[in-house]
Amino acid sequence: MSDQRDESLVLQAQAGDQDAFEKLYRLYNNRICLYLARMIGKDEIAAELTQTTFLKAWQALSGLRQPGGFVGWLYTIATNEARNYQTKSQRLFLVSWESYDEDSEEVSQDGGLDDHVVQQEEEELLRTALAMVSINYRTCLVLYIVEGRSQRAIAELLDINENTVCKRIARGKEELRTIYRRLEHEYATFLRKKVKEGR
Amino acid sequence: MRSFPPCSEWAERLVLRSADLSPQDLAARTAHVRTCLSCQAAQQDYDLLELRIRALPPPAFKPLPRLIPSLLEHQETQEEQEDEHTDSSASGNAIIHRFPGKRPSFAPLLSGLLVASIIGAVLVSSLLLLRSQQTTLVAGTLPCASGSIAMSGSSALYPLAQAVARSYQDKCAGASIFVNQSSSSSGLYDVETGTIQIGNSDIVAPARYKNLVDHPVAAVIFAVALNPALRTITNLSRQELQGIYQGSIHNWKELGGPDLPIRLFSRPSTSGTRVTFEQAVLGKPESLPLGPTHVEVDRTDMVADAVQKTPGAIGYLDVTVAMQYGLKVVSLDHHAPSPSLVRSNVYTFWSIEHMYTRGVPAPKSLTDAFIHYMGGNSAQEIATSLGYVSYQQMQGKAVVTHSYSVADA
Repeated sequence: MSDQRDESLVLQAQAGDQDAFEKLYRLYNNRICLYLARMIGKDEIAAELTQTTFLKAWQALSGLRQPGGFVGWLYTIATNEARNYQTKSQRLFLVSWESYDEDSEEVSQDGGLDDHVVQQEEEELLRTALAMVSINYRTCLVLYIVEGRSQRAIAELLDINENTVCKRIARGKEELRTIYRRLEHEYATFLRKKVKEGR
Repeated sequence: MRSFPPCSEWAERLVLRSADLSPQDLAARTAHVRTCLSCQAAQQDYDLLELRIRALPPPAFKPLPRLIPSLLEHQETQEEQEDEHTDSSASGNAIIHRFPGKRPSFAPLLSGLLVASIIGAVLVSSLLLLRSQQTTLVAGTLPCASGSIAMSGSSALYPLAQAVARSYQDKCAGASIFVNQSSSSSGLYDVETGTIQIGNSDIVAPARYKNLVDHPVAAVIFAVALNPALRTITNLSRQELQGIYQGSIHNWKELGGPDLPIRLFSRPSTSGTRVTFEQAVLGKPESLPLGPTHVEVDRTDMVADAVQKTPGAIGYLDVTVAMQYGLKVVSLDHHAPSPSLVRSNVYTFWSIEHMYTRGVPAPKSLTDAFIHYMGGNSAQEIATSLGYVSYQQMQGKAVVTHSYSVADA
């Protein structure tokens, strides 16, 4: 049903109907925003890239030969936006550990961190780790974990083989696990060093 | 978390949900995991990470509830007028295509001109005639072009770009101008690669951007600004700022202020504001490592917000924005930021704001019309009202000394 609805809206938009495209935007902007937020680990940038994704989709809409593939195509544009952003900025990988430890006042008397701070730090580590997974794996991983799609649905969405999806999810999860473990270790080492220094 | 990877023959089946496996595969997996410690640990980690990723809070920022309607209007007209740009990011293997709008496309005509040189002159004349019909004159000398363009880049130039774009669109109903902010470096890159039509920058484009044409539009006054509670600090010398940004001065009490750690909010190295700060004030690149007291934030408004909310904070940004946020703006070497001291170059923390286009804009295109409007009296009055210094009032020598740029990579 939603496929038919999308296809109809895409056809109308391709004929120049802006309201139809606006409807597509309303249907998918939050989903694309969440996808981008997990892909790059930065919420505010994700919101901007969502806008850019739809603008580029509008500009390129006439080139979409299969209107039924609109959503997958939209994800492809969003993925390219995420890739371009990370390639251009490369800032994700330049952040020092100290930037995670921004508020010294929240270190409790025993040298540990308050619970809510710990939770925030862990969330940030997780976002960062996810955003560092190889982009082909990450695409499948985010669709699988965050959107809860089955591997078959991902294969259909991205127009790739189901086995490829399976491999990418497997490799992505192991890569995520390795990266997260490394970040966790580095951060713990950093915190211990800070405590030793008498903070 | 344990450090052993899962058995390679089970790795793919291990990550899938039960529903994605056949009953036989599921049973086999369960049996294997019971006996294999590596796969057991891996599966536990995967499950834990998956759960925690799902539990992450939703994005703190949401996209606009609607696409800006005017943004989508007359897209095709502009595409006819602008040079065709390819963009590999629009699709995995596609270029941005012209939108099949209701207006006639001139692209076939242009191709025909190249091939059929005999009738070229006739077609060119026709083409120019057709194009001229899309440009009208209103309000005296204002050329109104229709179409849609996008600009992005310097967040210091954003308020002016946005206000002038709004003013132009108010006067020219067929024009749609989308203004975004990122950083000067991004603006330059995006216009060079054809993603946008105008790239806004605080700095002169590095030589590697060979296709860009500079349109200087105004001078922006930057300021060093402090958290509003630091009332007693009214002036900072260059030496003091160097000390702060090199890490040799850590506490405001060293500068006659309260006993409070100094918290620095810088901009990324892609920021034109930072380049200007380093070259016009510090005289050297920022070298203090990022840490608990030194954080980089992406945009002017984010610096303002962070400095406003953080005790002991210092940052550098557009003076108008600093004042809008109620920050404590300090003098530099006893010179307060002001248009008159900028014009005379006594106060040196300022920069020329540039709008870059890829090549000279096509005559009578919206980009061309907007750039001309930007240099006109209306836009320059807007610049002055927003705290910029009109480019027309800047002296040549001062402009040359403030042509900051970054080295080519």
